[in-house]
Amino acid sequence: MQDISGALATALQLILQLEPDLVEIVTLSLQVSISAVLIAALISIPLGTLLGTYKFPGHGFICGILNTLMGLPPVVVGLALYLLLSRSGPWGDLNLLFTSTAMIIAQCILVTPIIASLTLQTIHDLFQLHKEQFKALGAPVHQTLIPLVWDARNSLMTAVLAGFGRASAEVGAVLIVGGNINHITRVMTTTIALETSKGNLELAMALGIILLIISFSITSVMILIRNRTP
Amino acid sequence: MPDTSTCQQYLPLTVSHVSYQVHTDMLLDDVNLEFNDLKRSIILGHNGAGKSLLLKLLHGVIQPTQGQISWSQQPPNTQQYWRSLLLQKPSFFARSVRYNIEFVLNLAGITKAQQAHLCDEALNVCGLVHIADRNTRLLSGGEAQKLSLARAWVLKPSILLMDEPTVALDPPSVISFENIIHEFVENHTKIIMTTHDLAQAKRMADEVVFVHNGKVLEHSPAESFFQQPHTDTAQKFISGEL
Repeated sequence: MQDISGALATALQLILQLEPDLVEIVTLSLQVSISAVLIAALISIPLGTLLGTYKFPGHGFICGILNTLMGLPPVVVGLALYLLLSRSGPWGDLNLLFTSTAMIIAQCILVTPIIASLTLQTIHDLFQLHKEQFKALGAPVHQTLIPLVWDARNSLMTAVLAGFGRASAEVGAVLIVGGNINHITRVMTTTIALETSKGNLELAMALGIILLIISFSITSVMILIRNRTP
Repeated sequence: MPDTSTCQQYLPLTVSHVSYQVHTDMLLDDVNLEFNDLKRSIILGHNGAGKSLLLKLLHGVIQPTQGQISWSQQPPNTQQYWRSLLLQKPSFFARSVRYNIEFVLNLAGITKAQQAHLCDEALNVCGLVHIADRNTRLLSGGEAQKLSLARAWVLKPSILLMDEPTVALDPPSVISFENIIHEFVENHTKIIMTTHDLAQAKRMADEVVFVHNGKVLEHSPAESFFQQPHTDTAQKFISGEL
């Protein structure tokens, strides 16, 4: 118990002193996760909106695939991406393996189905609510999409937040395609795994606390935004 | 607003042997009607008689399973913006009252330069100026129906279809709503409205279409309908026995 409290005290000290290694890891983690979530949102919000409003042959199949992909095992994504990006793989010439770009791609693949599925459900429900009114007004579906997305913005922010939660907590895929290289691809989660295995609990706990603070801060900002919306 | 001749060009509205069936349920059965003039037509009947369904068919929101409907020989299409339909439970974007009116103007291809003037006029006629910037989530039932009317007014429709628009309103709101309807009538808009409220039908109708169990039993001038209905069912409805 004393070890834990001692480690916690050291962890807090590391945070308060803004220890350079810690700052570097946190910065890279945020860069990777935020980039991945932004790219995923740009793909999945339009995708989910279209799937939530238009019906076409194969619609149910695509929705089923999307829901299945929500539970993609990160290590499988990491492995597949590793094979594609490795020297002998089809995208080996891009030299992306063990870079932060590869980690962004991995997180993006994991997060896109989550945001897309949640967007689909939200927009579908909202569209059903207005469907008869749109028809009565003579409103073509494409002219209702932007107002619908705006009306659903709170739920969509929650979807993006869920995606960020998945991205920032991800270990398996980024470990495989990033390689956890010090000062290059080392992020919070991979560092926590590494330092814990080495018995260096102080840095692991400091990073754990920062992860919780980031998560709490983002949730708080979302609640504030939501409360300000009528 | 349209003049008499503008409205007249979309008439007659002809409903020819129209039926609407869902599985084995015949919800509307061989309906035949013709509307030739600008009289206020009230479709009267009890709940579940098929009034709303008939109105949605007239606007083209749904298609009949049998028969044909035509507005001056043209089949109904919801993108004919000379005609508006007010639903019993209208829905709005969770934005300002003004935005929801402008949305309709955008649909009809009205230029931004003309929108402000038309929007202000509709807000004014429907008594919504003071809440123009209010989010529609905060509107009362009466205000919501007025917004629904403003959304119709702004396109200057020649024909206005209304599906029990006052069913959830208190008496002062009903009167306020009916006063706005009179503005439409004075501006040569043909009114076709459903209701199950006899008092309202007596106040508003020039002619009555009486619907019962999916069939049109009577289509006659209001005065003769209320004084001497042709069918026992209509007589019972008027006397409150049905």
